[in-house]
Amino acid sequence: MALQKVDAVIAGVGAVALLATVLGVVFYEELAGEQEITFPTSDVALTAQEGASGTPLNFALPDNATHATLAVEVVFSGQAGQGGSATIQVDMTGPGDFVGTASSSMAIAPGDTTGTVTFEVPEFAWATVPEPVTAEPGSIDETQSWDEDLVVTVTVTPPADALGAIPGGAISYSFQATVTPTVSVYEAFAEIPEVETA
Amino acid sequence: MAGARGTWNSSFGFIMAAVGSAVGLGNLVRFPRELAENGGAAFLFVYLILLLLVGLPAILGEMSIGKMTQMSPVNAFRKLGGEHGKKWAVIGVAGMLAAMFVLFFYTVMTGWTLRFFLGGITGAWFDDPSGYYGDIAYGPATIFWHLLVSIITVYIVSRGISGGIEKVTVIIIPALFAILIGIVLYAAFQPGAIDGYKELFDPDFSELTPNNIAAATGQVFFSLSLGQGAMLTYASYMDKKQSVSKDGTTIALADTGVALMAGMMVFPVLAFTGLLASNDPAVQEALGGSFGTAFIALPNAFVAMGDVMGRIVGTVFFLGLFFAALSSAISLMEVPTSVLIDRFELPRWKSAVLIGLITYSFGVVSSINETWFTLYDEIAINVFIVLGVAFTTFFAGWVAKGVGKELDSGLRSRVGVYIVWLMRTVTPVAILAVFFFGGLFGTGADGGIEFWANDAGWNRLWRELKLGFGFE
Repeated sequence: MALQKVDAVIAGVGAVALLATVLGVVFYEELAGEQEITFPTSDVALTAQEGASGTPLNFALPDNATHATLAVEVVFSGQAGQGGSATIQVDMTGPGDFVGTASSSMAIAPGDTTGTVTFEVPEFAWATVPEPVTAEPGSIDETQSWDEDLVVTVTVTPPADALGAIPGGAISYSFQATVTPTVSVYEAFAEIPEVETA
Repeated sequence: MAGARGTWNSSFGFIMAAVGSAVGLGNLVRFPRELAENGGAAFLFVYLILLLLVGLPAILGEMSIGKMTQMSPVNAFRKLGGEHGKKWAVIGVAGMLAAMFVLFFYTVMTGWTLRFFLGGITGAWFDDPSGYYGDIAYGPATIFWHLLVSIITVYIVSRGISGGIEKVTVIIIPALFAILIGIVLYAAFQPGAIDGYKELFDPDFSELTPNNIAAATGQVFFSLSLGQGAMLTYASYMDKKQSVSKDGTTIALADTGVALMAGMMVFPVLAFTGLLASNDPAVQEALGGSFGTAFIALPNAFVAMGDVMGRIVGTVFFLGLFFAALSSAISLMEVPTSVLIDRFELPRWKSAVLIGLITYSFGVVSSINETWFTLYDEIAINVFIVLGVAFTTFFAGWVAKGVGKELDSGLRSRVGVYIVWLMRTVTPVAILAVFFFGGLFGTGADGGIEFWANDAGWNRLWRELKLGFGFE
């Protein structure tokens, strides 16, 4: 190979090397073989708990739970007078001092002795699902553990005729609440395929 | 002719350069790990037999071809191949390609060792060794270190055999030995080090499965830097008075000695710092691989030694690892450089620069993409190196004339005929058996041998090809 030819080849390969460097630096993410990792979610129903009006109900939360939808059932028993509308308030606290409230009502007809109402409190959230990440082969672990419980307190205010009711008299209202939370849990661990180098 | 190409100034210089070529991460980390995992002293016993039957004939065959012809791999096979010389030259081309494929990722890895060495001085990896490795292994900054190592390597190679390669290796290889001996002695006197020796040497003959014997055979010729044309090229610069048999045996023994010393350094260090017995899954996972052991488990062990001692030992260890990697990179770059010099009569510095630019360009992608890093490794090991060493030994045994005589030169006794017989029979058969067995079989889920298991060489290569080209 004549020397002049070699110089041209060296210059050409040098240009390729420079181009490879620029491409490597500028398009690093595209060339790095990184993958976008998302964290799929699924719903997990927690065990239902029951308590009288005003009783806090505590639910231990699984790792990676971010929000809950509550199915609430309120059961009235007693003796209504004129009846009316009972007000239901749901107070919630979650990890990280997150608080939330929701309300509903229950119609009680004159003279009723029992009654049931069910409703749903949608999406009380105390955390968010991690944003998708772009990562190289390896493991991704975005586990979030919760030390604090989800606490739900259902408080029922009876209709107005209960105000004038004489204790031990004919008019009485008693309310029991059952809460069934369904929490959304994301998959925190992702294995990105990797092959052992010899 | 030899004068124009350059020669070694001394036998010592040649042996240091050749030992530097053979000694790399494979000796310092992979061998101790395989020894501990595959039966300890039982594995060592098999390894030494294989070194005698497979490794020694292979290295002596490669060196004989180089010394007899005083030519680079392609021309050497061409000359000794006689009337079919052009066809036999393909073996030389394969060796040259093997060296280049290894360089595509080796300079990147050498950059890691340099960064860990400098990071030891500044304390950069002391807070979080695992995180540090994750940060530096791949990325735009890694390209810079790959470039720096490529420039250093090209510079040394361009200075010539005695003026560059020999001058550097006669300093860094004895320094590497001193570092190893120093850490071995330090580790030996630490309480708990005995557990490391037990882990390393406790014989377990039940571990001598066909898979592990194949692994030992593979380790023998990977460790001796065979099949890449490096030993052939270095031997082509030997003085006619030097003995291939004596020097080749010295190189093989020194290579094995370094590997054993490395084991006596790595395992006691991991033992007395508590890393070996750690239940941490991340540590156990790191110990399962060569890179994990070198760049995650050992740095964690150095941190566990405490601020002052850990920093000193860690920094010195990575300096040694850098020397070992650099000397191997130099020998790999010398192979294609010598081919260009011989075939096209190019000036040495232009040949070195051209090869450096090519290997640097291909290496950019392995600086930023682990899949390509691994792919180059798998192609080099599973294709070029294994076939290269098998055919080189076969060629030395059956085709090349005068190998036995060359092996006898400088010796009182006639050993050449026996070594040539091994080159004709046992050695190529053993290597091809490893090629097919290691390529097709691996360890199954139940720990037994399984066809096309995940760790079978060609299965790994196939997966890497799919990943590398975006089909998976």
